[in-house]
Amino acid sequence: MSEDLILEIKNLSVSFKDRKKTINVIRGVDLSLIRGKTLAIVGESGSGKSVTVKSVMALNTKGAIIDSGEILYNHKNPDGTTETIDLTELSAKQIIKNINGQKIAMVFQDPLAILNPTMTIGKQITEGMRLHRKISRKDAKQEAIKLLTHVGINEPELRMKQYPHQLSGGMRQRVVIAIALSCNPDVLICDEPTTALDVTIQAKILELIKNIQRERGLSVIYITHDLGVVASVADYVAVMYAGKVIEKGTAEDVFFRPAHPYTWGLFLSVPNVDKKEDELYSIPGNPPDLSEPIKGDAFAVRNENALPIDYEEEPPIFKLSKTHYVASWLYDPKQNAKVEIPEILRKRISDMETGVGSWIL
Amino acid sequence: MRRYIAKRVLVAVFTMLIIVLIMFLMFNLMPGSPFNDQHLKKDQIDALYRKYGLDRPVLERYFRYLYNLLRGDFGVSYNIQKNMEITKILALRLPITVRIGVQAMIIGAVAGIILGIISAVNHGKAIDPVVSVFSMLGSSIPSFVFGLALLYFLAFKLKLFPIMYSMDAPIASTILPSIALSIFPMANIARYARAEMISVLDSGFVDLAKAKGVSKTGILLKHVLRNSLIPILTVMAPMLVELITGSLVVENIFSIPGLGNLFIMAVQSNDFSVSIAIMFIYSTFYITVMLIVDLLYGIIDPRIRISGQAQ
Repeated sequence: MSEDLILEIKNLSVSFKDRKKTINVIRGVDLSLIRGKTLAIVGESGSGKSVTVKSVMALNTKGAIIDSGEILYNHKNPDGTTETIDLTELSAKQIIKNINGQKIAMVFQDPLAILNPTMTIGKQITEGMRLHRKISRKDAKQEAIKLLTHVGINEPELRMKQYPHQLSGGMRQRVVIAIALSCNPDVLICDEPTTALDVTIQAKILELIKNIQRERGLSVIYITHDLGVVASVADYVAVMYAGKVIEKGTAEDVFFRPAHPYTWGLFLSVPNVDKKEDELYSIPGNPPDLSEPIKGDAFAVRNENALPIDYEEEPPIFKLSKTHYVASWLYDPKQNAKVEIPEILRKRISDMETGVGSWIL
Repeated sequence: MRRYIAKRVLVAVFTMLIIVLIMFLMFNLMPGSPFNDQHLKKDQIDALYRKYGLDRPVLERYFRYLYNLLRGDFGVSYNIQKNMEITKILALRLPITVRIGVQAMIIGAVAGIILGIISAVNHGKAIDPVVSVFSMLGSSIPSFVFGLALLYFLAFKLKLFPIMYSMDAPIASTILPSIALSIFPMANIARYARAEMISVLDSGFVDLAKAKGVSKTGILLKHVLRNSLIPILTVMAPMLVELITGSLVVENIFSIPGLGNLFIMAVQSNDFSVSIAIMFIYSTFYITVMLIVDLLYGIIDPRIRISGQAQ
């Protein structure tokens, strides 16, 4: 493998078990993150994007079991050698102690719920530093003030003593980012980092994360259902549906040459402000029940263009180009399928390529 | 904050005035007199009434009582310990009751919270239902049952503690009654602490702490405990006050010369100056503890503290 991968998820399957049933939330996910690049995982609620990244940090709720697969973290030591750790072989305790915060950090969705209401901002930022880096209270405080300035918070000394409820939503998210950066991680996972924020703040937070990524050479994973966010930050995009990655490639591959019918549907459901269209498109039907075994392609029942084989057999991954992969029988030469990208979508894409349209609302 | 405290204290004082007034009116309406002695003639009783000023109208007595109260004078006992100053009687008995109550408070609160933590952390494991069963038993079995059991096994059979209260061994003789009293609040606090902590363990900031790499113990002590204290405190406070006010039965079982004991005697013999004094003390306890709890809220939760400042 020529590319420098920092994180590789191989054939990961995760299920949630309770007394009554087993829900197979993740059904064989393959993903990789190139060092210094940004990967966006998109998909609707329940597609398993959050569970996938939470498996990396052992943050899934009790009852989540990794049934199979590997999560390889390739850590570069200061002397240049690379060390590979399979995170699925570590216990949750070991991951929390040795990986979380220090190697892989997370920016969460709702910055109010995620900050401890009874702890000062300063304490929350320095907690990880003091724990992992064994630095003095004074040094930690100095560094936290620097970090707060860095993430664009004014009057950092005052903020250190304040509590989360005294800060605005945007500021809180900056604090969460500062906390994530406090132990110099290699990988930053952003789980819907702008969903809970004002539209005006969203762009600023994305810009901030981008700048930090550039300065620190971070590798970033975005979890989002906001295609506008994806378009503005991602190098690589993976589309998930019903616990599987159904299409992945570079941002250009997925945005300009979307291949999977689900991806088409997803793109079509973005309201187009440039053109007047009467009705907002939505993909017909609902996602499948993952507590039942799935026969064939999970998307087949919602797919107007489903082939007979879609109901019989699960599609393998087809390689469309060096970077672009799709899990759909449409691309099996043997099926001889003639399904074309919907006309409206083709029009939108060509508008985008010529710079007329955009995915950002 | 200071204004808030001043306001609360003022309200408390006003409440006390009303409580004393109600007690005066009630005892005035009640039949019977402290001098129910068959050998006493009518004019002798009248003389006694005059001596203690009981022939005066109720409001006059009320204001005189308040005036004496301000000087720390509860008056004298009419018949339990004739003509003895109530402050002196209280000085002997109050410390014993307070000691038992405070000991029970500490045992109940600490053990209750610890049981709650154990149960919440092991939610879904074998130990959780064990604690739940204990909570149920502890809150449904009355304290005198525990008192009798402790007395029988530890004091009578094993002879580890004195059976009767002994002035020479105040600590040893108050341990068993304190334990007996603490079971009820312990069981209830454990139940509330468990429920509260299970919900706090589910909050976002616990995820953030895990993502930061904070260990389980660290999460529990630094993040969960403090955030679950407010609701626990709310149910805990009145229960703890009841330890002092409601120890009547336990004091009886262990033959403790405390306030509860005195209260029963005073009510039975119409010694209402003693009754009013004890009720006054109980009310003061209650109001003081509630005030302290209110102030604690502010210390525990900065959201309450800071909005209080702004007012």
